[in-house]
Amino acid sequence: MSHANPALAAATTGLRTSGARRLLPFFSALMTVLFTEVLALLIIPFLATKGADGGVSGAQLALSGIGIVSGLTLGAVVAIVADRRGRSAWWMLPAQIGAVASPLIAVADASPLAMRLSVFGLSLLGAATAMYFVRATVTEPAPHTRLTRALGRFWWSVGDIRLGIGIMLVMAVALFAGTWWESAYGSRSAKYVFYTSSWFGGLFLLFAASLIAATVRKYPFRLDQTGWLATHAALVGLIIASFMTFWGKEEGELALAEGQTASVFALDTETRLAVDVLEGSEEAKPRWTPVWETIADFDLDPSVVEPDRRYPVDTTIGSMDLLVDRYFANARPSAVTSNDYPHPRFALEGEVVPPGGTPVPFTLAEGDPERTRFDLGGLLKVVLSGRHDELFIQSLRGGRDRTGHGHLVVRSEEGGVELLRVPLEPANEKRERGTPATLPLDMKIPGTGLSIVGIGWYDCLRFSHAGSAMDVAPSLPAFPAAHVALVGPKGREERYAAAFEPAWSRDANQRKQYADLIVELDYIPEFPIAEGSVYLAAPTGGEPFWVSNGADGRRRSGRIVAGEAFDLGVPITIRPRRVFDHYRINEGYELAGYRPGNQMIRVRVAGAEGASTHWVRLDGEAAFGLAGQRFRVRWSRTRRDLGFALRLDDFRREFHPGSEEPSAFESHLTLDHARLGQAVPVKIDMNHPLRLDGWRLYQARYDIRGTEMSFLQVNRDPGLPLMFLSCALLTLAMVVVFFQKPYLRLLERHLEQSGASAARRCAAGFATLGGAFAATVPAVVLYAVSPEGPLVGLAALLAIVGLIVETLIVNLWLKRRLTRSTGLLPSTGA
Amino acid sequence: MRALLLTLLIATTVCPQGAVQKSLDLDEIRRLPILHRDRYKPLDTFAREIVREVTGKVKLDGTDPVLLFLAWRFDPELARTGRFIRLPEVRVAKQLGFDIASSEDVRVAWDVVRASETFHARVGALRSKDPETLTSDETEILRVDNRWQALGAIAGLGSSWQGAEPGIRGWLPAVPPAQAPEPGVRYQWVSPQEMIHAGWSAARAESVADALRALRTAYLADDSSAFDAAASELISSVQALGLPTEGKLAFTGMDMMDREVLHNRARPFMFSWVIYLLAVPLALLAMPFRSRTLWILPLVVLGCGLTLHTWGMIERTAISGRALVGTFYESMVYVAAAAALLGIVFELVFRRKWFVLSGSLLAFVGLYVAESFPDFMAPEISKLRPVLNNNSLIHVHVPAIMTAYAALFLAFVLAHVYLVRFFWRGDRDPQQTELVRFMYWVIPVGEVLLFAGIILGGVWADASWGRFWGWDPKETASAITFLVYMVVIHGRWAGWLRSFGSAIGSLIGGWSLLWTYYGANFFQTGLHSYAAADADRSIPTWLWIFTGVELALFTAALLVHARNRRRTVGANTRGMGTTPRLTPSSGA
Repeated sequence: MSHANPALAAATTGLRTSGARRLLPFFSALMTVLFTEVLALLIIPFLATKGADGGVSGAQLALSGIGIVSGLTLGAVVAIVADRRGRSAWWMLPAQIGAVASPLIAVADASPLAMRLSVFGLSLLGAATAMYFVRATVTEPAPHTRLTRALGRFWWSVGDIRLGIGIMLVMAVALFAGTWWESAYGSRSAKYVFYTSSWFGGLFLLFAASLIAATVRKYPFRLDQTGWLATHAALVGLIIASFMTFWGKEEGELALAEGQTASVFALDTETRLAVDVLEGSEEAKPRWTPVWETIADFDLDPSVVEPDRRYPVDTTIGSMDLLVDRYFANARPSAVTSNDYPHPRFALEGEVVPPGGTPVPFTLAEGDPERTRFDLGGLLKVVLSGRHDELFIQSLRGGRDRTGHGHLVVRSEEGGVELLRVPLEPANEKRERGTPATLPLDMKIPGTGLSIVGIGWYDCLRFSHAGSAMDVAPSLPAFPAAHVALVGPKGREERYAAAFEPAWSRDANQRKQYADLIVELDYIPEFPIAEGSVYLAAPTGGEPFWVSNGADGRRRSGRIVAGEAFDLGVPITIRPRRVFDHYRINEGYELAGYRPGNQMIRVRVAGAEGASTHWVRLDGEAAFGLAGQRFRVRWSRTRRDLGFALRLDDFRREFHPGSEEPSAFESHLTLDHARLGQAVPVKIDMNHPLRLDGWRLYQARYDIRGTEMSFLQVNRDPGLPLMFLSCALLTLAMVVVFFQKPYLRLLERHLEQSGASAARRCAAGFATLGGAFAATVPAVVLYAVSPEGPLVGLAALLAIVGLIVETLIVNLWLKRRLTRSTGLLPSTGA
Repeated sequence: MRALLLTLLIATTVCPQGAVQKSLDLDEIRRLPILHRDRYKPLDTFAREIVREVTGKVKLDGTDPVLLFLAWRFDPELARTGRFIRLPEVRVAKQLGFDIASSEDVRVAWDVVRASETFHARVGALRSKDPETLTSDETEILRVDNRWQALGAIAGLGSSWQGAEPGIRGWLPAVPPAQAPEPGVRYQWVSPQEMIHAGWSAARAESVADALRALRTAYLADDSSAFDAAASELISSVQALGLPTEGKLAFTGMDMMDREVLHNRARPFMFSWVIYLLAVPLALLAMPFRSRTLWILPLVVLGCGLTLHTWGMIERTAISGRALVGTFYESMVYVAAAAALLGIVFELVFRRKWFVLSGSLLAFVGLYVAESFPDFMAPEISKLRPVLNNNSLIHVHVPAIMTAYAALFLAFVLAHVYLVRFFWRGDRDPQQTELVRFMYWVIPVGEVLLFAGIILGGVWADASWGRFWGWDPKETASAITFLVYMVVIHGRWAGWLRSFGSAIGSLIGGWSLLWTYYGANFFQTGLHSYAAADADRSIPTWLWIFTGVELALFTAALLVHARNRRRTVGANTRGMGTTPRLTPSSGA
């Protein structure tokens, strides 16, 4: 850049170092103002929103944003002009008046456009005033004081590339640690502890400061630094955008049943704890009046399951203390056991000690399908057989009919006279699981004129859901039963007779035409116990006992007493620690995972006259009494108003041919919007969100059990446009900085030789970036035409190909032409 | 070219000796169309998938998978008693009560599994468990059950097939139902003996059954020509039923079946890595010479490999009906191709043989790994998950990222070449300096593409999931990789990293990249887990070896470098770092 001041020009073109020294005052002014205001832009929303509802509105934020951006842009121009005329760069300060005044203007009740214009106008006025005062060039170098020099040096060191590298390394390490934290404690905790924590934000701020300082260090800018400047500016934009996202993003879910209207949705990211008092009685039309509410802060980090957050609640009605001492992001019911269940229920807590091994604990409980058997790696199986009556117990302990298959007994109901007793011999055949054995039987029942015909024999009878009988375990007489038919003048009637359940055999449901006859199976087999299995049984009204086969094959049995090891006759020890006969699992919860699912807290309410503990699930409540009043503690997601209402008219699904997976689901809604109208039909489906007033509503999931419900994911992200812009600029600028620098350097030398003005060189820099941008114009146009269709991919491809072609043109054609026309040789190496 | 390939292949893949001794002509039966896992495929592919699923190998003892499949079907006794069902590792197999002598004894017979009460009790309990809570051992046990059931279904073993005629019974979804596909109704092809259920007349069912009977007779008699004729008869009898011609589920045609059979047999990706492997010694051989011929030779070989590779990719795209962006295996194929392409392009620009060497090495390793670990990266063609398919951005996002990976991996390979040479040549050798210069050519290419890919992924995620950036492990890992390479680039600009430091930086960048590519998928769970990623999957031995070798190289290089620096201390104080600059500079 050519300086009007010859002395300064000499200082800058010759020695870089002395040039930099000369630049310190300029630097201190520009950096201080720039960074202070960037900081303000990032911090104001934080201060405004922290711990409060509402606070600064989006319009007010936008206003100060406009003040800061216009002040900085105009201020930078003033600073450069002032510097080139030998004046202090601090002359840029008047241009900041718009930013400073913006909070005052925001208070005024005017139209948004007028307010924005006045803020921008103030900045412009300030800049123009400053320009007026610095219009004449002075020959003296810009004055600087001790303070400005110190500021300049400070900012200079902040812009050092080594600090930048250090920050990048620290960030990489922190992110890596963050991914591990995430796999252990879930993404929500990782976000709290790492990605969106204040120290990470501070790192980002330092990075932004370093980037800005490094950029200003480049002043006066050269043409071949175009790409460099653009990449670093884009990074600053990216950091600002991520802060905007952090402060301004809201996301949640809007649940709509068919026919329902809603204008409020629940946030995913913020919950509230509240206390209501009951007015009126609880039974008849309870009316709960809120007395206290706060934004909950115990659920920010799910890795802290014992947050111990205390909330003193002082209301006009009474005061109490809420203590949240558990927070489970995903809770499951846990067992706190006791022996006071009103009905008999057998359970056992014990341990198995394998030979030379460590004890393995186990718990078996009657009536809990998850805990009926315990398997020690194929070595030993402990099976809780459950509660049975005497016949099964006999069978388990040894049985008595070991050879045949018992006797089929037919007796009359009156008096129980035995009419027929016949030994059963089911065909001894190999059969598949499920099919019964054939039962060859066809006999007359004396004195009745009926005959009994065998249909099938089951060693272990089960009925499928469809009602058909199966033998689920041939040769394992766990539930032996005979299937027979009574044939006589009134027709044919089928009966099942089960050995262990005489009551079941007598069941009236089975008996129809021949209701006066009872068919029973008199058979107590020896219940086969596989080698290495121990059966535990609790007889009705008796002591629980264990049964197993010892090493010699002899059946062993004994009582189950806490602390007494079973005498199994093998070198494995089973020792019951606690034996229950009235087993109860009290309600409680334990941590199932850190990924938010069934969120649950435990609240301890303490008042003057006592305390109580309650489990409260998210969007749930628990009632309690205190000082003669009924209260409830409520924990719910924060609701946000969309500013418009939606009614779900219809929810539709489509299926993939060839599967039951839905290929698409869509919600047909009616929109009620202040500006757009009263009944606007809209459709939201999987790839077509509704974008309105900064909100985006996506089709997320649905529920068709009962009333059809559609769940829309709602979010608003004010940082997104700047994020996209910065990323696009960064991509373009990276292409320039990596692949077009030699060309730019050549161009710079060419322009220098031909004595082009600063404006022309500046234009050349923008033209280079513009060239890269132009290469992506077809892609941008295509994207603008169809932002959600299948052409998006094509647009992206076009952009990449365009950039490659542009780079080739610059390097193969423009560079060659430049070399030919100027006779300059491209410099080699970076 | 296809004919040439085919003759070449037939010469090399004559049915070898194995569990089944037959001399049948299987060419016709391979083409039999099957509808399996929502895709039309020839019996050849179906048999490969099923045989691999059951036995863990496509070619068990060198037996043609189609032949083994037919043997199971037509010789149930073999299926019942032969040791085909692959077991998990010994520790888990012992829990199931199978008597396993050694780790080589990895398969058991169908009958053995059937007789094991422990196994069925365990499976029964696991089936009722919430699938999300299964441990990797339990998943393995359920897989054994799946294998057992698959083999039983194919051979028609078990009670549900009882009474059906041998040869006709058994699962073979080769027959369309009488009803044309309808929206909202699950469309499935049926096995021949279910034809009556599926709405066909007895006469139609009989025509297919006749063909199958003839096929079985010819199989048992080992009559090659009769078998071929019966296979033709079977295909035409199925086609006579009328295959769907319209809509999304229209039959893709016999041409496509032939194409897929050829693709299966040609194994273009396997042959490509062989060719790439050939190019490596050729490039090494050419290194010391200035001969143009010796330079061109590896380049031509690499080009040939890439041609075959590209042909394979085109075929696979045509067969699967979608771009190769769905599975981990496909991404590896993509990276290898991009590496070969970048190797050729950079070689043609710089002409120093380093790129042809590293390009072919990387392409070989990429394809070899993709082909060698089918348990980690299933090579089967599958349908795209709906979430991946709903936006065409993925078709740019994935290739951009994969090309970036290829470029950055090239820098990784160059860094290895540098570090290995470093022990002999040090860091001042002109060729070493040249290697580093090349590294700084490929890293920016990779970085720009990586950034563009990440951003495109963000745009896509914003459209699909409603957020631009969500700190998913894969996203975070890619951001880390981007940062690490940015440190390398800035370190160079700052003068911190010279020749040696740059190579070390590129090495560390490569590790970060490997973590992004594999680690984030296999060791952490997130949205990008294409493969079944168990959090507690045990780390394979080769990974330990690789890590050990890498760390050894890294440490040894650092030690040697430190020694060299101590020697030159006094003469030159500047090595890997620079002396701190006291005065500000404007930089370049």
